[in-house]
Amino acid sequence: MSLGIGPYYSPGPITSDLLDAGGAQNFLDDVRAALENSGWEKTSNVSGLGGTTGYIMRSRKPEFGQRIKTKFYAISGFPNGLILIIFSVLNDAESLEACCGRVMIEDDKVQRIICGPYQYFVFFDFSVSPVNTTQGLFRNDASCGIPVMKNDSSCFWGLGELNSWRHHLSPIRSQATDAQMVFYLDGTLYDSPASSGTLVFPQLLSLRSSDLFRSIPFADDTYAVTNTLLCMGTNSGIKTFGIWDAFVHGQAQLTKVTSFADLHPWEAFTIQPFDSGVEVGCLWLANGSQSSLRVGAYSH
Amino acid sequence: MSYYRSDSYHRLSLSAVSDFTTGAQFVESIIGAIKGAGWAKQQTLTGEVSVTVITIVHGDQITLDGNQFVFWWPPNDPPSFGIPVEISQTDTLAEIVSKFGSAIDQNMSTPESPLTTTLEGNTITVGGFSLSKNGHICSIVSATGGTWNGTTGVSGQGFIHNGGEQLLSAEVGDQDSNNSLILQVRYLSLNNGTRMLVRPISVHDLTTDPGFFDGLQLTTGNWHFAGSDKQIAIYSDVGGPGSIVVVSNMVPLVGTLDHCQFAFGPTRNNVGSDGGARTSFAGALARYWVNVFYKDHTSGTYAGGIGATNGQDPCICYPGYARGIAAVDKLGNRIGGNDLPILDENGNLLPYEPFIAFCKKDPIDFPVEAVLQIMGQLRDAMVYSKSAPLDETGFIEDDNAIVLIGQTGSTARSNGVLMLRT
Repeated sequence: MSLGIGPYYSPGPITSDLLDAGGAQNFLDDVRAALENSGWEKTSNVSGLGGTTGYIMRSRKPEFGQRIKTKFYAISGFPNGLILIIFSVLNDAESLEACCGRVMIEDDKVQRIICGPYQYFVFFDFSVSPVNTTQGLFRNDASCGIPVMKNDSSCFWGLGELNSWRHHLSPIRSQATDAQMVFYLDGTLYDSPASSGTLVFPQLLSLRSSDLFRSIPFADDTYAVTNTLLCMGTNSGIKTFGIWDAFVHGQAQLTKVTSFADLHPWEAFTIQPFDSGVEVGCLWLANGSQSSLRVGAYSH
Repeated sequence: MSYYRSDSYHRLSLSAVSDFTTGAQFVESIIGAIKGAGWAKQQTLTGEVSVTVITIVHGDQITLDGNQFVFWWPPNDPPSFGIPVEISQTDTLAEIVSKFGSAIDQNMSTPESPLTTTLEGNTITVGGFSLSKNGHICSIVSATGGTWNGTTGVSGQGFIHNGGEQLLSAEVGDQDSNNSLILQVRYLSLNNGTRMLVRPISVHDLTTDPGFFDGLQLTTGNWHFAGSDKQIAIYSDVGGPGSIVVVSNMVPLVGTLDHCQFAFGPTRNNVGSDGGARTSFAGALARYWVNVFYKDHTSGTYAGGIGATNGQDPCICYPGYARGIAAVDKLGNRIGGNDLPILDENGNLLPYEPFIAFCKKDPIDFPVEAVLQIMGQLRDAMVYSKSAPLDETGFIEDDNAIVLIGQTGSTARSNGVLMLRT
């Protein structure tokens, strides 16, 4: 950890868009358009419920690491007849696939996506959607990405639904049907197994103390801003990476908060601040690329 | 922030077998090392002897710096040896002290080295010994009929504040406040061994700072010094209570804080030492002193011991997997019952800044305002989330380093080490 390094910035562009979740095809097309805007490319179509067309899309390749793909398409079979969009993360060869979240389609519902060339976050934003759905916390989150790496091995992460970083910096498995936790590391795909007792699923670290558990502020009550520490692995080996265009702040946020720093716009992504009654911090995502210098400006 | 590396760094190792045989020799070497690291001498410290007396009766003896004082009262004959001090059976302690002081003055004081004898409660203090070479003010203190110690009523527990030096650290940053740190270094002669005393003092309050670390046990082990002009660490390879003291004019962090000075180490007790153990963060930081100074020139000094009711215990901060509030979740790098180190993808331990946090407010008196806050960062050190044997060698960036404090995981805390540059 180092406070001085700052976030790992992707080359962008970073896209922050609304997604029309009132209809399956509109939603699928909106997700595709957002990802394409950030440099992902469509590699094939996927047939979905009611003749809808889903997509398999391929990320760009970071300097270190391997491309990933994502697949998203509509299915049915949900008890009340609603449509679900399934999101999966795949390796580039499509020999591995794991679900990384599900989103429910409802009339007038609006979702959001924040994505870059190596990762995306699909989530529910109460500040933009007219639907305050009772299902809102359960089937609205899908995210996956290539971590910030130091070598060219293949590695990816995926989190969805109750276990996304929308709800916890350090998620633990809850119910199998509401929890998507997946990572591919050292040649093994860990796909939301029933027991997580020996696994560290993708989670972000915050600063604590050697004997206490809260996130610890500085002397003037500001909190540490750290470049992301993304940990995942097994109890025989765990590794730490980063995620792109993001930082962790020790102060929790109750609602969506936006800010501007380091020439980037930011928004608080983790808005479930208290974990078992304890404040642990917040993941902030850049929701736009670096601002252009104004005319007449120059940098040293 | 990250690794905060001092430009100039000084190192010394002392063998209890070959490099020192007395506390005076040890203290002299350590003071030399502190000066070598860049601290400046402010003044020589004179020594004093404190004797807590319950009663003094005919025949009692106190030997002070080679001078044997023998108390007697008529109709007994004066003693045939030593320096007789005539008292009366009806004398109060104050009267006895006055007579004792006169005897000291007549036999030991010189115009060049005046001594003072005072009484507070039933403690006689003889101070003002002029010292040479961090001197040895008393070869022994002995008596009968009284006790002399820091804990009244425990026979045979005497102590002598021997001489030493008062030293001044370099200032921190370029703030407009005087933010050096004063350090007194001397040693104690105790009936149960010799201790080194390190007393940090803020420059803003020379009289009331309660910081005292007088429990470094010099009797065993090899000793090491590593430090800069703003921070020193003295530690032995034994590792138990009394094996470490660290005094730091820390790297001040952002915001309203001007500077923060922090020390942890052992204090003495009748048997051995409390705190200053290298075997856990809690054990090492068990006794602490903190001086905080804000940019608005308000300040505060805090000292205490872990386990005390004030709950202002300092902590070392570093990231963890933790969630939840149960004991098992405290900095819970524990998955499946195992403590897991936090490694990068190449298997190297990730280093973290050794942030020091504590409560400025007493949680008992200020249950809402009392929050743990980070006050600064130790220099020339980093924290890692893995346990390792004390003194195991490694690197911080390109610098050689050793495990200064090693903590083994438990249900209440995680594995961790504080690595110090050597």
